[in-house]
Amino acid sequence: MLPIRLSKDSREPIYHQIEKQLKALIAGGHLAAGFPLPSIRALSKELEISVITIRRAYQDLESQGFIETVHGKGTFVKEVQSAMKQKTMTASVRAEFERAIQNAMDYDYTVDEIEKVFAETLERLGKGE
Amino acid sequence: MNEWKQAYRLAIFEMKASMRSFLLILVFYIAMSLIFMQSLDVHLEDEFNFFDLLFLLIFFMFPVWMKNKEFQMQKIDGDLWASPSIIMLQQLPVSKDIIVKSRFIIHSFCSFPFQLVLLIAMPIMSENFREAMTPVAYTAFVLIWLAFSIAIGFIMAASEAGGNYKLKAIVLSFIYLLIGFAVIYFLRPDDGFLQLTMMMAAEWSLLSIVLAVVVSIAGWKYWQADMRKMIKKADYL
Amino acid sequence: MPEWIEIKDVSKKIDGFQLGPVSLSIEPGTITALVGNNGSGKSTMLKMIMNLANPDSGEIRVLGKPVDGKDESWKRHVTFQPQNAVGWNAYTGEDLKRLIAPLYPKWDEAVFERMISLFDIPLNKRFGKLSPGVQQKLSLSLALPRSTDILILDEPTASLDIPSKNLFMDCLVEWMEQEDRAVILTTHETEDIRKLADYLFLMQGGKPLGHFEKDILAAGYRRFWLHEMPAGPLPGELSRTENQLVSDNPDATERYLSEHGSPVIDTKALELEEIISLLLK
Repeated sequence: MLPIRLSKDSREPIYHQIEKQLKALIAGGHLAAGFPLPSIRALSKELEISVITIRRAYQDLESQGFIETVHGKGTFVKEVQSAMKQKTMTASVRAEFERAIQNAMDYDYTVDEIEKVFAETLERLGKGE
Repeated sequence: MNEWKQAYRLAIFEMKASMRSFLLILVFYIAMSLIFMQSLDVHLEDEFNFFDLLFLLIFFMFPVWMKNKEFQMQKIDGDLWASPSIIMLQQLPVSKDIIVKSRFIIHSFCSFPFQLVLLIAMPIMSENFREAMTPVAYTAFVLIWLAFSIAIGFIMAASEAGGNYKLKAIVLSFIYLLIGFAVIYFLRPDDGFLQLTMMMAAEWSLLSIVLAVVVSIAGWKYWQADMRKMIKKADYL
Repeated sequence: MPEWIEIKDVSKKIDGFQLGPVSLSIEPGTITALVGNNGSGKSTMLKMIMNLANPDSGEIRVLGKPVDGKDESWKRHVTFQPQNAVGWNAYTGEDLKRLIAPLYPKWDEAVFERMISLFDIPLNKRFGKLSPGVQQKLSLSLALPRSTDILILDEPTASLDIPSKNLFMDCLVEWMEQEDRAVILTTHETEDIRKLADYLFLMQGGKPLGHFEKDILAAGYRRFWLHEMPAGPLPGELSRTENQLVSDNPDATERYLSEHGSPVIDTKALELEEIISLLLK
C-alpha cells in the first residue's frame, strides 16, 4: 500500500497526481532504491483508477528515471541521483508556492499583501522550531 | 477415435452421478417387463392384441424413463427445451461432435441393455415363439428390433439438443406417430407389429439382416448429424 | 495484433426485442464491465460470444477465430460463467472439478484449493443443495483456476457477502497479473466497476450507449455550485437546481462562467454511480 491520495475533484489529471506524489515519495527518500512498487493492476484496484491511467503514470516515471520495470519480476524504485532529487524537491516546493499565490490572487490580494502574509507565516513557523 | 474416448468419459461422468437410481430403475423395469412378457405366449395365439401396443410402448419409452430427472429434457427458459447437460457442456471446451457422441453413448446405455433383455426373454418365455423362429430367423428378428431402436429410438437422443420448441410442435409430432401406428393396425388388424416383424425375420431372414444393418448404420449417422445441426441452430439463451 | 474479442455489427431479434447492432472489441490486459438496466441484452451478448446463441447478422471473433466456425479450439482459451449454472445440480463440487479440470491444459490446482479454503466451500455436497451464495463461490473457484486467456463473468458478485466480494476481487486481481489476460463482466455493483473495471460498455434496451475508458468518463462530468444561476442553458449543461449545475463538458461550462463573470463557489466531480445513472436514464 502506498500513501497516495488522489483528489478526483481536482482539475489536475489523475495520472499527473500519481506521478507527482510518487516522485515526492522517492525524492524525499520514503521509497528507497529497489523498493517493489505494486503491480499496475493492484494499484488500479487500490486507487480505483483504470490500468490505462496507472500504466501511463508508470511509463512517465520510468522514462524520467524514477522507476524501472524488470520483465517478469515487477516494477522497482530506481537509484535517483541527488541532483535529480534536488530538482524534484525544488519543483515540488515551487508548485506548492505557486498554488498558494494563485489562491491569494483569486481573492484579489495585492503583491504587497501576499508578501506580507508570506513574511508573517515564515516568521510564525520559524519561531515554532 | 479420440473423440469417442472423450465422449465416453463425459457420458460415464454423467451416468455415475445417477448410477444408483439408474440401477434401481433398471432392475424394476426388467422385473416389470418379464412379468408382462409372460403374456407373449397368449398374444402369439392371436389373443390379447393389446400386448403389441404395450410392447411398443415399453420398448421405445423405457429408455427415456430410465434417465435421471436431472438430466432429462426440461424447460430451461421460455420456449427453450433441452437437456441441461448439453447446455453445460457447450459452455466448456467440448466440441459439438463430442457432445453429440456423449449423448448417444448415454442413450445407448439407457436403451440397449434393457431392450436386449426384452428380446432375449422372448424365446425363453414363450414356446410359441421358440417354435416359430429358427436361430437365423431369431438373429434377424433381434437385428430388426435393434434397427428400430436406433432409427426411431434415437430421435429422442437427438431431440435432447432442444431448441425453441413450441408445445404445439411436440404435440403434433406425437399425433403423427399415433396416426402411423393406427394405419398399421388398420391394415393388419390380426397380426400387429411384433408378429409382422417375426414373419419378416422368418421368411426373408437374409434380406431382413441386411436391411436392419443398413438402417441401423444410417439411423446412427443421420441422427448424430441431425443433432449436431440442431445444436448449431438452437439459441441457448 | 488481433483483438482478443471482436464483435462487429452484431444484432439479434428475440421475441420482439431488438438487440444491437453492437460493435465492441476487447484487448488483452483489460477488464471491461458491461453495464446496463435489467433486460438490456448484456447476458445475451455474452452468450453470443460463447456461440450459445446465433446472431441474425454481424460477426464475432475470439482470438481471431469466428465463434460459429468449424474450429472450436478457441473455447479452450475462454472461461464462461453464466448467471445460472445449468446442468450442475446433480454434481458435487468434487465431481465438477474432475469434469472441468482435465478440459483446460493450464488448470491451476493450487489456485483452486486456495479459493475453496478461502471461501470455505463443501466439495462433497451437490451443487443443487448449496445456497445461491455458495453456488456462486464454487462457480468462481471453478472459473479462475482454468487460467484461460479470456474470462467472461455474468454477474459474478450478485449473491456474495461483503467479505467474499473482497476476497473475490483480490483473487481476480491476482489472476489478472499472471499474464496478459482479459475479463468481461456484467455487474450492477458499483464497487466492482470502481475497483475492477478499466472500460465500461453501457447498454440500454438492447442498444449500446458507448464504450468508455473509466477515468475519462469519470473526469467528464462535474457539478458546479454557483452564486447566481445564469439564465438559459449553459454549454455542457445537463441539469440545474437552484444553485447547482451538472455539466458533461466541464471545460466549456467553466470557460463560459469565467467569461461571463459568474463566480463558482465550488466544483466537484460526479461519482461514477451518478454518471451511469445519468447515462442510463
